[in-house]
Amino acid sequence: MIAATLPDPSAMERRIELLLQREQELAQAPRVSELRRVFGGNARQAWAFEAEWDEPSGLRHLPCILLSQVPGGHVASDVTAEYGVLAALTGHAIRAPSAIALDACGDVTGAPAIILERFNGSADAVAFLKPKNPAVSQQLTLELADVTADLHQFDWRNSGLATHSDTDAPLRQIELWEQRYFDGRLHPQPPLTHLFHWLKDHLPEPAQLSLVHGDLRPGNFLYEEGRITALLDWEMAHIGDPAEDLAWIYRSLWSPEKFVPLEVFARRYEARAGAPVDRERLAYYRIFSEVKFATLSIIASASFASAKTANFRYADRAAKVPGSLANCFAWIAAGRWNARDVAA
Amino acid sequence: MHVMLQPDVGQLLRELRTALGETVLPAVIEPGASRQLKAALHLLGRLSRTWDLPPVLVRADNADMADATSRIEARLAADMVIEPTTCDSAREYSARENDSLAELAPRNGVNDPALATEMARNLSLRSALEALEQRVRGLPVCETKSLCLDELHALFARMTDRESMLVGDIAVTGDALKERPQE
Repeated sequence: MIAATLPDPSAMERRIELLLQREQELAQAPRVSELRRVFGGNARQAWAFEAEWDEPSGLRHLPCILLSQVPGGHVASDVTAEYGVLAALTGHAIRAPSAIALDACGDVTGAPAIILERFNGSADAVAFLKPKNPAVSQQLTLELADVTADLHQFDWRNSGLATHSDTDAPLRQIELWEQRYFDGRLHPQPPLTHLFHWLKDHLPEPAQLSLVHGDLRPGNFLYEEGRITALLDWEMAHIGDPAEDLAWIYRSLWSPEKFVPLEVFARRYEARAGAPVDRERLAYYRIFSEVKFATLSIIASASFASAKTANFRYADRAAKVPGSLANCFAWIAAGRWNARDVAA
Repeated sequence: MHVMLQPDVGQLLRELRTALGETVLPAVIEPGASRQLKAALHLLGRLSRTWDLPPVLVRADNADMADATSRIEARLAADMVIEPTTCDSAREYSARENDSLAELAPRNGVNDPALATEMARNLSLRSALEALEQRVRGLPVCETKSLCLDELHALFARMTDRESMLVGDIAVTGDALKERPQE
């Protein structure tokens, strides 16, 4: 089993200072203090700290977080790509943390890592989904519709994120997950293989292409006093169909349906975005979400089985696969896989 | 013969889970360790409910996959659309089952040789089905292709039902252990 090895905090502070010195052109003599471990999800180690440095305009103080890759995560994430997305969003009215520094190879901090601006708030999904006051979670869900709409209206084409093959982005997203499935599976799973065929056969034309977060759900946004302060975990961000994010937010495991029905969420989103959400596309991406979640579960399970991780939460993730596939087959078999049927 | 009947594995796992949850979990203060233990308790609970289901479900899965594969191969051959080869590859794999059994059993934690054989057969049938779907999808558009894909789709839905039973999502029913008629 992989054992988590933690660097000495004071040595880690010195390494972070070196990284800030290298990555922040204007930073003079950066100083790091109050370094402490915080929960960074299943796939990353997280360190919170306070950073200070001198700039020509004066002293700058910034609460920061360092997110460092650990072996055996769900997916082989690319910190450079994630950092690129956050750098493109920095300075825009999207609730994304500012990108501060990148350690792409891990040559400074010991593992591929990024440093981001740290926001106040909690990302506790359990507290969000089982709240003392459901009205707060309802308010947060409606705000999530607004924040998601704002993200999808971001002008990514003029922000350095465009590539030569963006028109194929939705198909490439399916092919990416299909490849991850083939790479990560322990044995053939013909029902899931078949569903990837089905997704490619039925791929809808997107009304628009947007920057899609890719993992937007309770647990991946910070909230405080009834407001969303920041969206977290951008490692799956990509260009794609915006319906993908809406569908992922409403996956059954973490769905806020009991606070805000999907239809109400979609209408709120439409009002903010000024563009309609085709319900059939939304239904399609709910099927895609189940296939993606099944793939993540297979990868996590294989990671534990092959001793790449000691995270017990991955041990039984394969048991989540049948539920996801059952949803897909039920929605498809109904032969009317639109929002009315799959929203239940 | 006492030990062969009581306590059974499900009872042991259930009691182990209860005892760990009541006596050890409260003493674990470190958040990371507590999360690990809770995940282990969850797994113990699921295993206590499902530990003895694999033999019957794997056998039913094998029978269903083999029958559906034969029907599709027969349809393809009758319509002279494609030469039957997938069943040949499955038979070839079956011939290797005994050789691979010794290696398979300890690696997968399967102690019962009969179950290990059924699981090896299940793997070979799954591989054959993926190859079969690939071949059917390569056909030009025709009614035979459409019917074969419909039959595969229905089979995969039934396989998913059985897997849902295997992990404890839904109760095992007699219907699920038999092949469903074509819809």
